[in-house]
Amino acid sequence: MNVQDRRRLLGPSNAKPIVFSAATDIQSSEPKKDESSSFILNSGLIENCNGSSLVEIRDPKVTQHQTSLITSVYGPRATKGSFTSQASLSIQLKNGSSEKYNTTELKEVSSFLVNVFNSVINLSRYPKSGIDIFIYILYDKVLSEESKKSNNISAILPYCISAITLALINAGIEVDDIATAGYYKGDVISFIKNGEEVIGYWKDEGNCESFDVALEHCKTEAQKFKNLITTHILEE
Amino acid sequence: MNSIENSVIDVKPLVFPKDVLARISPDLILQRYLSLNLRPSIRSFDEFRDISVSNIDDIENEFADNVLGTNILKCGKTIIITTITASIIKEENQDETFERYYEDISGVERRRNKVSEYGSVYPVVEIERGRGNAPPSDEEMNIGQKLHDNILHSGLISKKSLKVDYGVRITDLETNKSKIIYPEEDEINDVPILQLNHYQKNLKYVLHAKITVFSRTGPLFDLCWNSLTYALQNTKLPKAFIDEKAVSLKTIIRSRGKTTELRENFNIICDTNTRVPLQLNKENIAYASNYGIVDLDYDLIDTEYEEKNNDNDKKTVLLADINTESEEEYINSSISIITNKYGNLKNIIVLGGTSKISMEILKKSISLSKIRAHDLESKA
Repeated sequence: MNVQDRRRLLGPSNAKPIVFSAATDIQSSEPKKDESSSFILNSGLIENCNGSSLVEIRDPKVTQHQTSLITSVYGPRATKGSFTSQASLSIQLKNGSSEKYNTTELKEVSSFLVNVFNSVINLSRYPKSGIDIFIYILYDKVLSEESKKSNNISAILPYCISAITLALINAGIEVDDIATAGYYKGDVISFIKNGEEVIGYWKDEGNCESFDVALEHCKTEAQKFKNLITTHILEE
Repeated sequence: MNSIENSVIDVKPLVFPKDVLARISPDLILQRYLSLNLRPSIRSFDEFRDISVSNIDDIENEFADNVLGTNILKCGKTIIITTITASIIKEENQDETFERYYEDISGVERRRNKVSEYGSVYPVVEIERGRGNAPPSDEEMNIGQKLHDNILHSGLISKKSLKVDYGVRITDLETNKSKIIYPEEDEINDVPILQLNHYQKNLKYVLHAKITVFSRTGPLFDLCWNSLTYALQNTKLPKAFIDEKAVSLKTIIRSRGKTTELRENFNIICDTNTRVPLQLNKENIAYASNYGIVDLDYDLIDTEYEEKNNDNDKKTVLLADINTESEEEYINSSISIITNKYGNLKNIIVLGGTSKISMEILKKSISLSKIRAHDLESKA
């Protein structure tokens, strides 16, 4: 049975969400070929959380995405219940302006991110506490026509990882190293220790030749993000 | 026993940092600031925070598919993001019956029916507090309901502007090219238009707003209202059409095997390429502002004040745009006004609280909100 949520104003229940025609042949309004990439990092913009970051990235070459993420970190805060020797980590992703990704996709990504950051955050330093991280996908736009069809969430994973790292540093939570990741044709590999240690590997549909090729490409990408984050921290 | 009596207890005064004191004793810190003619946020009494407005459209050049309007409002540290989406509903045709009864009614009834000419927005407010998927808080529910009611009663959106005037997509069998004809384009030579008018169903857009608030530092209703107003002003509704073959499509529905009824399907498709701005009743666009009223209490900061001045007249001040914890916690009397720059009041809520709200204060708050509305309007 369809139970109406009475706590939120969701409008009449028999209303149908609007459906758009598939982008017709009429005129697909030639996208302006703007090959410039931009990276904007900002931290500490949200008042009532422990740490926050804003990551705005436009990368027409590698990931072909233009994305803006607002990340907030709450914690370490005391958890209810029995004693635990180390902090528990939770990460949630939320769709912002458009309902682009469905909940299962977002859940999958968040569990991947939890795995990555379990090995980065010094969890044993915060016993009986919880660290909650929220990522709000303000907007996410695919820049190239061919990757528009696949609607892959994997391309924004490196941004998520950089955003969380930045927010964690802003919150003053102890991390082993600055974790970053790179993207190459559907593969996402996350590194610490100057690319010597892999802490996460995400394989998505894509025509990646072999793991070694992906590893090399991702390493250079990850290094780029790491440099960006370090310069941002030093500038602050 | 003796040793305790003889020992000297050294009492040191405790010194708290500003933020901590604001938590422990919001009244004290507020009064201290006010005695210096300032507020905890270093604003003067009738000074508002600056608002900066942008929309995602500026950055993105194009809307995400189902987003019809956006707004990002920044006020101090607070960030409010509003996105407008829509759905389509089929309205039962009540117009004729309505017309008939309209003659008989008067007074309150008539007023009530006036409201039924207007549409509203269904807002879902979400205030980020790091709670995850917890149910909505009281504040979120209150703001949502207030926004909905105020938009409806302000007469900002008339039902006419939400009507879906859909066209027909005609596919030429020979060339296999499709073309969409809209009713206002007056191509009378095309037969389907005549058919269309015959089958035109009463379809209506339902607007939904998703309002997300980051770093809440004070009362939010007026900020949410302003953000929603800005978002509605740049909302563009898509043009809609149905396929030619679906114009006269009807399906038979049986309920419990006894009655048979004909139900028309509506498979409305929205055109990705054409969008028309939502027609708002421009004269009804209004902006919100809030005020707090507080009595200056010199006893609290100066214990000898009472002895020096014996008059019981308390000085009352009006603070514009309440923000920060110490103001919000301590101020019980408030005024909330929605108006446009000409003083066309749409809503006013006065909470008496503990302070006396005099006529002067009311007048001052209304004139301030007119100035504020003028300023906010220039940013739209």
